[in-house]
Amino acid sequence: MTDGMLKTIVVLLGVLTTLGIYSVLYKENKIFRFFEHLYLGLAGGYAIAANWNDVLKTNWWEPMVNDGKWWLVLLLPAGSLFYFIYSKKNGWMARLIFGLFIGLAAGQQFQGCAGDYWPKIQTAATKTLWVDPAKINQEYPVAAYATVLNNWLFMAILTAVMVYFFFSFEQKSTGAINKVSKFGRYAMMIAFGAMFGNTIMARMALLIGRIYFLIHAPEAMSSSGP
Amino acid sequence: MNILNNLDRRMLYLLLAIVIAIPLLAPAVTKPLPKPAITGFTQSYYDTIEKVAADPGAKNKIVIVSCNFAAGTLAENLSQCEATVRHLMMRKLKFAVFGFSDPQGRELGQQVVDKLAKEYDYQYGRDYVNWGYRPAGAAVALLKTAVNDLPGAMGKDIKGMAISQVACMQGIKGVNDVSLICEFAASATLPVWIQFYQRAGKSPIPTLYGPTSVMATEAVNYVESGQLQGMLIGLKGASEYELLLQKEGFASSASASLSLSHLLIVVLIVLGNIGMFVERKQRAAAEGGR
Repeated sequence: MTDGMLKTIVVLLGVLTTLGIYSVLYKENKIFRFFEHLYLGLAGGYAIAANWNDVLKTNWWEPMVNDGKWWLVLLLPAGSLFYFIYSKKNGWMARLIFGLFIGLAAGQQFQGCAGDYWPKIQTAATKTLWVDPAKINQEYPVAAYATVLNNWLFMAILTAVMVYFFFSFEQKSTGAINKVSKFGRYAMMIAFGAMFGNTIMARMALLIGRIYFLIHAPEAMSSSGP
Repeated sequence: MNILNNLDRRMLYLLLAIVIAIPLLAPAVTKPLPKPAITGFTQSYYDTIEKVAADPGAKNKIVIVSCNFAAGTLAENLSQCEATVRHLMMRKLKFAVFGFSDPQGRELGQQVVDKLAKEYDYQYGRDYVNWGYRPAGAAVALLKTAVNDLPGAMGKDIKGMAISQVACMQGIKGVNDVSLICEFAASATLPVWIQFYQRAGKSPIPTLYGPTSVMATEAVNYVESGQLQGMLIGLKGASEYELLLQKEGFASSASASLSLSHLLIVVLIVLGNIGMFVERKQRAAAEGGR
């Protein structure tokens, strides 16, 4: 089979699969179910092959078998401990390896939190809240004022959202705390609205990608050559 | 008005498919539409690569192109990845394709490189390398090891060659030899770079992000705090970036479909609301008349 023929078959299968998956939009049917399960099976098989070829074979099997690093065999019983979770009698053995990994992950979280949040706290704490006349760009002076306004808005929303999630005291419906908390809630709702808008964009993009593929499929097949 | 409330949803799907297909079938129809405006996120993304390319030290460093996506988000992530790889090639920067979220990522990244390599005379080994896929569960430990010993942590490339032997990896020892991180993601993989690698060296590594648009809102605070230097928001971000590069690809041809589909959704939401209000009014009138 030539490369061109193979490409034609691949594109044709892609068209069939796309149409099969989208057929659910008309109504639930067996063709959709078939392609859904086919996709899951393919993804699972692909992941197993990739894990073997890119990870286990190159980093464990070959060094162990070809390079004389025999001690790598010890990883096999250690990794196998995970599967004892399915044994009622020997389930405690799985806890050994799970405990080790939970400990590792917990330790990593300390570094993770610092790496993630510290720069954010630093930036929030050092925001410019006053216009410095010496730093105003004379060509575009409004930028300095806009930045300061944006920073005030940022600080106000940050404070209000933190107040919203502060449950240590009662937020009475007539109190100032309640009003600040409500402002925080509205700010979050605006953010969630933006997220929802972006979600629509993402879904549209996926559909556009598939329709683009279907429209250009004949072209892709003809460009594949004899 | 009952038509609006009882419209078969399949008619809406069909309408949506038609609206999307027209600009793709007849691009001339959408020519009068304005080009997408370049947002600050995209502009700073472009400027960061230009800045890295202008740094003489970057010639001896490597860019990491982290492809953490799969076929499900091709339309967004592949377009972003393609435009970025093109920019890296235009500026003759050495790079490494890598993925730790989904095994498809390293292959999709390779497809992008294969598509563009001839145009920019890029050769495997000499100009770029593919580190392959590593499981997500091991990503943190791997990157922490890669801080001081990048070739040792990555082991072998996608062709089975020791990474330390690959030509473009000569002189690359650890985090201080990485000039830029470009992360294309369909799930929350960015924090791994931010938390464990970006600031582990002498100076923070500039980091760029290409998320699906669903994830973009959550990443804005990273841009605000300076942890990200730029971001491409989904397909729209990719089309803006293609405009900046003056190399139109899939994202540019899809931007009209994207705009029109949004317009259709807005119109349908307005019509749906009108239908609901009219029906409510009619019901109230009927109940009052009883």
